[in-house]
Order: sequence, then C-alpha cells, then structure tokens
Amino acid sequence: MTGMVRPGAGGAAERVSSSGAAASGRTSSSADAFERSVRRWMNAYPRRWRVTFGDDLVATALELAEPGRRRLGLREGLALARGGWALRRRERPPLRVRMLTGFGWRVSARDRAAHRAWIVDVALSPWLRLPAQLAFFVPLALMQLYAWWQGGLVITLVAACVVPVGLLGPCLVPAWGRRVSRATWRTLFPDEPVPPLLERPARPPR
Amino acid sequence: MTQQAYLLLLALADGRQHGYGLAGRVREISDGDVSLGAGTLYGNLERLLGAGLVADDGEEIADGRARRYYRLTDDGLRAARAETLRLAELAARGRAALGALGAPGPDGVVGGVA
Repeated sequence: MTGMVRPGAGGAAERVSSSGAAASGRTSSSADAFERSVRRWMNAYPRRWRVTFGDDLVATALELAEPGRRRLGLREGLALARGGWALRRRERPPLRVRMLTGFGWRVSARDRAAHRAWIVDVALSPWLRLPAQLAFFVPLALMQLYAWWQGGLVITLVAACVVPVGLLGPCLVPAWGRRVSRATWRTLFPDEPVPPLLERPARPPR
Repeated sequence: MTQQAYLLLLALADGRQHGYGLAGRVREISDGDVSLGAGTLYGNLERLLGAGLVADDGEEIADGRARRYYRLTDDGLRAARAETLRLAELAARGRAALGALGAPGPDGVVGGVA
C-alpha cells in the first residue's frame, strides 16, 4: 500500500489535512498516533474520497475509540480498507478507458462523464496510472529479455534505466508526481482548473 | 438491503447527522446489538451515498474538526419504509409459522419454550 511509509518520512505530502488534531486541543501523542494509523488504513480509499470524507472519518474514529488507543487495530483497519477497495472496484471503468487515462490520453466526453470519479482519481495519483503503464511496458520488456536470451536484440542501458525511472519516479518523488498529475489533469479535463491539491505546496517550517 | 444499511437509514430518519452521531443512533436503535466501527460505518455510508439513498449535507466545523453531515433522501426514506414493511410482514409470517409458540407469553417474553 502506498501509505505504508514511516510517519513523517513522506506521509505529509500525501496527507490531505492533519491540522484538525492541533486545533481541537487534542495534542496528545496517542491521539496523533491514532490519527496517523487511521489515515494509513484510509489510503485504501481514493484520494478524491479522502478529501471529501476523510476528516469526518478521522474525527469519528477518534471519538469511537477508547482514549489512549494508538492504533486503529487490525479488524477495524481491515474493515476500513475493504470499504475503500470495494469503492475502487465499483468505480473501475473498462480496460480501454483505464489504458487511455493511464497514459494521460483523453477519452470521449461520454466516457469522461460515465467514469468521472475514477478519471479524477487517475488524474490525482501517479500510482493509479502505473498499472496501465506497466501493462504496456512489461510485455515489451519481456520480449526484449527473450530476444536477449536468444542472442538477438540486446536491451540497452538507456531502455533499462529510463523506463523504470520514468514509471516509478512520479510515484516516489512527490513534486515530480504533482507535475505529471497537473499535466494529466489539463489533458483529461481541459475546461477545468487544476485543483489546489496538485499545486506546489509551501515549504513547511522546520 | 443489509441490516447495517437499514439501521443507518433509520438513524437518519429524524434529521441530519454526522458520522459519530450516526454510530450512536445505530447503537440506540438496535438496542445496543450493533455498534459500527469507523470502517464499517463509512463503508456502508459510501454505498448508500452511491445508491442515492443518503446525501452529503455539507461540512461544518465543530470542536475544531471538520464534520460532514449526512441526510436521508426521498429515495432513502422510501427504501427505509419498504424495508420496515418487509420486515414486519416477515415477522408476522414467522409468528404465524410458529403458531402458539410464536405468541408473546404472559411475562412478555415471546414463546413458551422453557
């Protein structure tokens, strides 16, 4: 799961808002740890959903938990993750639309209207674009490997480095991911402004 | 409709609620039998929102936290009434099937099974 990072090591960029805990005066470390745990599990939900309902879910989970808890717990966490996966599965469009949007290509206005929620998610997250791109590049790479094994066409260093870096870079480097996401958004939704989520964030004071 | 979804619709019947309020109402209505955690609560809520039975009623700040409110739609009210009717009819048929055993006993306890 993408959210399984050390707290503070990169989760801050993905987290949509975490200022709620400080504002309510709930600054104890256990509540913070609990909130982080909830938000990690909540990554199963698409980002668009988290922006709308995430803060409410966290507040509810905090109130439902007995005080002093530092983790959501496996059972509740799995229930949360299952809900997120079920939502993603329900919204998943046909392969054709997934492949096109995965590469940041526009789809017809009808497809865009029918699968808007999913396409918004794809525009917001490089991780969701990755499967379509892998589905395209992995067979190519396998063919190259086979050819190499047969003593034929040799896979070049450039192809072996550029493709993985180009695929994984936007997923692992937040600023790069946002850049690609902004471009993807402009292509997929040419008439709509880029959402503030994708803008360059102000550097937090250390 | 699952029992949890039905209880959520009932919990919204007397007005808008936020997530935590919903969990409390569900516990109340089910007489303490069903207590939804955050995961199950929002999973069900998301399905109901998708089906148009529940609507998002905007965000408000309460206790320094953003709380989102939910309300029942007309379709949701219709679904809750239909489900209530179905359950009542099912219970009536169940009572008929049980015959004398299904009638409430003198102490209010259903059935005379010792």
